[in-house]
Amino acid sequence: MQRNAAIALGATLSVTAAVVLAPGGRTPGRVAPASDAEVVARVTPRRAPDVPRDAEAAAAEAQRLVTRARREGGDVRLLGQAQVVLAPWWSEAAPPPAVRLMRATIKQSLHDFDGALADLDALSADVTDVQAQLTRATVLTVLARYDEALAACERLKGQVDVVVVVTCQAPPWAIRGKADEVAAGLERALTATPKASPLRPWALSVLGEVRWFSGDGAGAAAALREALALDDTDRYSRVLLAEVLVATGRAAEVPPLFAGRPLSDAELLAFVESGAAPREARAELAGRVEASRRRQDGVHRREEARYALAVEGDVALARALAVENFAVQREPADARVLLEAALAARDADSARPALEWLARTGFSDPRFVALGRALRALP
Amino acid sequence: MSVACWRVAAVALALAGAPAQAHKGSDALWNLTAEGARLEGRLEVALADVELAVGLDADGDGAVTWGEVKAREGVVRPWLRRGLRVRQAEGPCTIELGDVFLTRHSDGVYGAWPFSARCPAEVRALGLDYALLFDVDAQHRGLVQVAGAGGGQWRAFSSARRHLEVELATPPPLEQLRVAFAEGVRHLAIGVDHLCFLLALLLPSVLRRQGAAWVPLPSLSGVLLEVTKVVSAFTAAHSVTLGLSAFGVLAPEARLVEVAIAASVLLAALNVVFPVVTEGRWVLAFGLGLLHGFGFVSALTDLGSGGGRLWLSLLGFNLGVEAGQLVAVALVVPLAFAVRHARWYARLALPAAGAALVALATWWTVERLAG
Repeated sequence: MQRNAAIALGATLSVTAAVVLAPGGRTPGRVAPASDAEVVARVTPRRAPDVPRDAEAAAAEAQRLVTRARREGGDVRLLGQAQVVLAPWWSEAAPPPAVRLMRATIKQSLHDFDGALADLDALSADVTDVQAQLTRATVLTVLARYDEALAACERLKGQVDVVVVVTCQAPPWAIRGKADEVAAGLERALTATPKASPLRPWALSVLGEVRWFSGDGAGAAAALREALALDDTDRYSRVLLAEVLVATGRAAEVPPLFAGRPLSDAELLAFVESGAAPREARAELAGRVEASRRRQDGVHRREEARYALAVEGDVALARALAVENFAVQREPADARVLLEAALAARDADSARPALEWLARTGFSDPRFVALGRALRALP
Repeated sequence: MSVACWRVAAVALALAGAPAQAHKGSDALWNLTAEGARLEGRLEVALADVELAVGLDADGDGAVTWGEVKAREGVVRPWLRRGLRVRQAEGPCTIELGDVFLTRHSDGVYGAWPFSARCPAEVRALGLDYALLFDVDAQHRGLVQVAGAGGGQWRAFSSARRHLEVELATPPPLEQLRVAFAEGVRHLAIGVDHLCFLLALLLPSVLRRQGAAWVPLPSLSGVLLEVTKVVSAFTAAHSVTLGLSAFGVLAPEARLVEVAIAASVLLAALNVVFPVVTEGRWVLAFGLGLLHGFGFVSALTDLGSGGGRLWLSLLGFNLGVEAGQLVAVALVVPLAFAVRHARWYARLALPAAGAALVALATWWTVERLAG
């Protein structure tokens, strides 16, 4: 054997041995702590298992968990824990109102809108239960039942600040093509609301959304930024702001919104869709989507459809998910992903539910109108 | 502010879109592979979930250390063990869990326990029970994947469905061999790095190094001998490592293997441009070919074990890879043989092809190192 060949053989065998012996083998993603003292997970320290027996205490504990879930981007783990707290009443026909309201809220968060509505319908008989009316109005809006949503908001009159009623009614009215009037009404109501009012971030967030419905990108961004300045945990506003910035050619302003903070799935998706996300963020999102698909519970259909369409470019999958999703929830964002997926698939037929929704509501968002026109122009 | 107003504010905040952006719930992952009457696999549960159910954070500081995880094994493992049941028509299987290690997933670090079970008879159908964590998180899912069943799909246990029946599809041996063979051919055809490696070793095989110049080999028999040596050495090498990793004897880190494979192509290509090993290139084919076998194993794993006949899948897959290789040889070598006397082959085509392969392999190496 040539001397060089002998050296090469020795060298290559050593490399192979090194690869085999290198740590981290056996399992992909294996973590090897350097010492027993290494911190491997941050957890919320476990509390004594004190499942409350009385309904008021259980409802309060569930509310605490649900509020935390929302602050942390809709953490399904915490919602599941809240459900366990309510377990003694979960299958009861008519649990005490406080428990029933939390049961409806959890069901709504898990996209069981019909289940939530059944509870809320029962609760709304008591017109003084303002939370029930308000949550019911939200669920009805998600289900595109705008007349009933407006009526639910109407019942709040005289019981709460005017800004609550106006904000409650803003989405259903704006979707019905009255975005400009609604924005003006919200602005007036906000002027009359104290600067320190905890209602401000909510009203500003809705104002941003409504302005965006009427194509006012700069106005929408301003309201959403103000909402975020008041409430940093408002992930909904952050996602919408990113969408507005990208659509109005200001994508460069997106990374500071998301950098250096834990992101919910929707935030991460918005970051990646903006095109400004670093490679790690894209990899992280791919991992989360894979995990979500494994769960097969369909809670994330809207995000999965958007991901399939905008990131994977899998038009057929995006269309199938968007169709399924629109059968469950019918917010403008749900209509949009269905319209876009159907357009990408050049299949106006599958977009019919969203086109009908568009025609029925008179929703005047210029982007939606353009999508509808493009779809109807398909051969 | 009135109490009613405060409550509205809480709801208002709560309503701000949370349902639409829910993030991943709690999942435990349970992989199973059947080998005769044995089941092997792994159970992975998020440390955050173990904390919630039985507690890990002994000092309650919100930070779980590796030492705390190991110290709680005596409590955690029996708890896991009680939550799982595996049985077949002939009777229950005896479950064992090995020592905990850690894995990283998109939502944090998980505890992972090697799982094994002995069943009364060869495993063809299983009844699986799973009851972990539902008592603390009603939205928890136990996700189970049984190799050879349901096309590798994950199936989900939920608080409402704690039992699953799993049927292992065991194809007839010939069908298993055919599928594995086709996968082997396909894997080589799409495995551009393997083909490039082979190309870098085969292109010079119609020539011989004389001093600082290439001269054509005179006879076909000489060329064929050289080609046979290279191909056989590559085959022998990757068969050995594929077999060793398929049976779980060796299991190097997948990312490292990918980097090493890219680097092996780079070395083989550099040896074309700047010939160092000019006689006995089969040595390179062997030494570096060992790495390529590790790269084949993921494709083989996806095929499933075929109900205890892993060797049959291994054989079929390997034959498929060889067949693909021979096609590549049949395409490249006669061409090179035909033009070996042309001066442009040794002076231009060979170094150019080598340089192109160097560039490509460098890119792969860098990309895989970064990824």
